[in-house]
Amino acid sequence: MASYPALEDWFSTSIRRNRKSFMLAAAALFIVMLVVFLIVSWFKPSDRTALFVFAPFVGAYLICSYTLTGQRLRDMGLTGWLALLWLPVNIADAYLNGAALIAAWIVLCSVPGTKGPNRYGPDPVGAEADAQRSA
Amino acid sequence: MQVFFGIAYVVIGLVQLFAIMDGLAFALGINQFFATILALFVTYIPLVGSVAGIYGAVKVWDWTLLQAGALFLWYVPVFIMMMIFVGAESVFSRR
Repeated sequence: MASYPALEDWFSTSIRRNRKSFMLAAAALFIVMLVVFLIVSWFKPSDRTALFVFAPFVGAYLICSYTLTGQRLRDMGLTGWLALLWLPVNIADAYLNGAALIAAWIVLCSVPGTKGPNRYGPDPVGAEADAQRSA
Repeated sequence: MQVFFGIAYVVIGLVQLFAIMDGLAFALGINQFFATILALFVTYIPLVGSVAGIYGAVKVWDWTLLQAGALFLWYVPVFIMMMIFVGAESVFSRR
């Protein structure tokens, strides 16, 4: 059964994303940031230059992590606004942040989406979804 | 994903612009204002902009030729890979 394309619509606030697509997209996002980090490190820039180069990537990464979480939540039939729960989690202390991060990842990667269409859109998995994407 | 490629393109373009500005100021002995104006024209000329960027980065910023080449001529290996990919695809599609 086909799943939603992992490298597409990272910034969309309207689609649903299934588990496999979410995990692949998160992995790709991590690899992109790792590659940027390695390339910047290779040039041994000053702190200010590194900040100047990194800032747009980190900004896009943060927005993307919220929108990807929102897409997965919508697939579960929940509102994408719940992704904003990352905000208090991210400013919490390291232990609480780590525990919440692991718990959220387990939930996002394991809870299946609602079967068939829900109020946030069509099922991202299956032949019907494939036909809609190719149309 | 395309957004990240877009950001990379803009960031590399800006770094190249600054490298060309410094390279022109160093090579021609002109002040930064005129170097900036000249650099704005030179930066977006394919190959010429890249070579001028490499010159500035190597001569003024003390980058290695490998670093400067990798950053400013990144599209050459990408273009070659694409040509190979398209070529291979057309060969296999004929069979």
